[in-house]
Amino acid sequence: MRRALFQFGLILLLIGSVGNSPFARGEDAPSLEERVRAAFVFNFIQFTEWPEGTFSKAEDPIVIGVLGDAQILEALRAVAANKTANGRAVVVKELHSPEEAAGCQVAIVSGDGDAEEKTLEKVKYRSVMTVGDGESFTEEGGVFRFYVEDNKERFEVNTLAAERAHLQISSKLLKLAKIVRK
Amino acid sequence: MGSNAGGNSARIEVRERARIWCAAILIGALPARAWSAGNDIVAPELTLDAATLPASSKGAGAAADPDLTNLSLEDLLNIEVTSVSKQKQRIGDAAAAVFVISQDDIHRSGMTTIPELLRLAPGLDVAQASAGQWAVGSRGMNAVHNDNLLVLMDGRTVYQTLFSGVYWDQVDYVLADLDRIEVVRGPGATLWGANAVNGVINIVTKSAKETQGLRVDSYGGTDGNIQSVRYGGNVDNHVFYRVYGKYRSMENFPVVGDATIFDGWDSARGGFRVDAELTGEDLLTVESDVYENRGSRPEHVLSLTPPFEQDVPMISDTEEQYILGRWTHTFSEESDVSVQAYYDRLNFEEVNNNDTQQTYDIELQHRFPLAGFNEIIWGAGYRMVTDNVVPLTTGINETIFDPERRDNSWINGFVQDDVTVFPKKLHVIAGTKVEEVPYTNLEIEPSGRVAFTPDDKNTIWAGVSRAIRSPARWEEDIHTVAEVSMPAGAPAPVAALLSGNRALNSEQMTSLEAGYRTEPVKGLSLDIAGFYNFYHGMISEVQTGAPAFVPAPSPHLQVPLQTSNQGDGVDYGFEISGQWKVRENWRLQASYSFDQTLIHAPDAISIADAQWNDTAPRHQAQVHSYYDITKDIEVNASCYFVDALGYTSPAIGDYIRVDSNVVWRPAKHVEFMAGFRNIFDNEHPEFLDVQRRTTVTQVPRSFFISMALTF
Repeated sequence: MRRALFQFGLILLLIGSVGNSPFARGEDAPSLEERVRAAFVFNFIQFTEWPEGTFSKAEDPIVIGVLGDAQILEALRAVAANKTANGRAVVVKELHSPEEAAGCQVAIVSGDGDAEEKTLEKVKYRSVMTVGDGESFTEEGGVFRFYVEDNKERFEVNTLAAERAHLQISSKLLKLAKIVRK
Repeated sequence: MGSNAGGNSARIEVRERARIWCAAILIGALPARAWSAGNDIVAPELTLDAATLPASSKGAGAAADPDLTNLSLEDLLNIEVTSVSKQKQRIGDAAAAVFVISQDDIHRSGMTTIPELLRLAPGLDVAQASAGQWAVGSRGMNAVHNDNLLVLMDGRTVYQTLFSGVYWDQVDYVLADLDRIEVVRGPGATLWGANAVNGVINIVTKSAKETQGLRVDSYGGTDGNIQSVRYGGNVDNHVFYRVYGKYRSMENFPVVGDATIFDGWDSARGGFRVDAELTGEDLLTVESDVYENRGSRPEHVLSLTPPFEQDVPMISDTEEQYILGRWTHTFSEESDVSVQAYYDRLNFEEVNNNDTQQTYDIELQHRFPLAGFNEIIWGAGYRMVTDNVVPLTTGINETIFDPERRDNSWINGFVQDDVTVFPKKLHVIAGTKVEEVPYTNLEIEPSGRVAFTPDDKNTIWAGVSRAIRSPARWEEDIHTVAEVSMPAGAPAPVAALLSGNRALNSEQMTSLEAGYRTEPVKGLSLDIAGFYNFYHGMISEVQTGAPAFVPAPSPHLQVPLQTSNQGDGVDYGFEISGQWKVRENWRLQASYSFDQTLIHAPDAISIADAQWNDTAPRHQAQVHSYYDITKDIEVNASCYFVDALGYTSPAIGDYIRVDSNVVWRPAKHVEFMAGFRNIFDNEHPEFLDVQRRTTVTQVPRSFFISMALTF
């Protein structure tokens, strides 16, 4: 029995070392779902107008902050380089606390729970486009919520929350979204 | 009776029939009619899915391109993301020890049979007793005909009431077309009724819509070979169908010592499934399978002269056909109604009897919300089973069912309410089933559960429930010599004459359960569940009179035995399991379980306690590693530790089993798998059906390669 356990350990080590080899490194990519979401976020930005005065300088970038979701962070970073949206560069940064969300134009929070609630609290009445996937994200005042239906990515827009944040969302985007007003 | 020569010609015959069937099914079923389809919501309570899956081969065409920002919004909305991890868990599921074996797990295991796949579920005890026989148990008390675990496939029960249990060689499918296997440890009688005592297993196939196109699987290994063909097509945008044919031929297992025992078997099966969307809200599913299994297996043959009991390979032959229809109407996300009916005919010839069973079953189920904080599910069902058991042998081996033919019916109604006490925080689930089962009184199977979810990362649950196992027909009606032996000091051989008992009650169980589920960090989930079960009136065998001297055909003593509700006791234990998504392409899964069964029948024959205690391992542990080296290469490995079983003498020793396989997809339509099982061990025994066999079968090491073509 001890011998067999030892050998199983060896197998695991072997697998682990293959996994850590440079050969395998490149495959550690975000999942398809996260990449689809990243593409949606770019579309959300392109179909949204922020109020005047959001950017102090013409060359200010659009800042996307990501809290607690390494996957979408990776996916966004992979596509943000050398891209512009609404004539501005796009910067993706990792947030370490809900407070930091207030300095972004887009704040992405994954999952239900405390972080989500706190982030929504921190950006209240600011022109921040909040994006989440928690079940009650839009009910609690979030702007965009991702959900999956029939294995396909869908999104919901809380138009009241968008109005509160003075974000103008194009009707083209709204046509494809599930609308809630909370 | 059975000899190996007979066994072989029987196997050749099955092979020929298999070819004819496969051809007939593929041709005959193609012009599908305007049936309509749906999701198979067998049990709405049970759509929990595995927590995290690596991004395997499932992406759509867009999967290869890392940058999807150039796609239009409409295109993005059409990409299949297959996000199992984001599917929400319903709180109703969370209040029980539930595990789901996903298609990804099934694929990566390299297993070829459904009972073997059940090894993947934490806490289940799977022991292979011979090449075609398995003992599968949950929470203690295992046997080849394990009577306390209910098993359903697409809503049709595969648990047989003649011997109370599942013949696992009868349960098969194209494994790639299984959607998932839901495993509930612990009682499920409130929803599923009698015999859902220690667990419920729900095998769910994919809808026809999800299995479009041609798939050819070919498997060759030291343990046998398996071939299958499936074709899925559609009549229009709303009517989908698939047809399949499958053939397997499994090799003999070795035995301890020099004995030569034949237990290889062949199986040919085929079937179809049609899913039709009659309207946006109405789904109709019709499915049907036919199969024949034939093999040989070692069984006791009794004699009044030495050696008294001898294992002889006997031919067993099974044929089954069923057709099932289910209509589901969806009112809303929270409300639906479904009606399901099926007919099933099973004939099997085994050892001393030929049995024909016909089952007629109809069930109704309705789910709806009430007053904003109740979710009610109720239903009713009727089942009739006629079975006719014809004896094939005379003399000392004669086994008679009296009466030969008996019609039994089950009538049940159930209701369960899931009450939201505090939204998203506290649920109370209460319900009961009331069931009229054959042979006994009206049975009531209530349960109450509570689930507390302080946040979305933690769930604490507890439950108390009652379940029953209704007597098997053999326990009521059998007359047979169970055993012949020559005890030391006896003047003549002793034959134990076993008779059924018409005054039996159901075995009763009250279960206390509790569990905790948590996701302490993203990608890591842990699940712990504990239970304390009280059993009452477990059926055993008691001596009902003094030994009588019988002079003919050769002098022996006859001891009368009868089935009786004798055993009382407890069973307790716990299971811990965890999943860790180390990286997007690497998933680890591990579990440990402990079980202790203490049941005693004071007046029963001396060996009776051994039918319950130490028939399941006290300790079990397993680790699985699922790794995607690249998008097209997977490496999977599993290690199992299973503790010794002390119910038989000598004990079945503990064992460690290590399986591993490599999957390679060299092109879009082709997949290869190569692997081994039990690599560090020539062979080991896992189970012995002591009442029917003396020879211990060994599970050998095996190597295999397989190929799948999909178009």
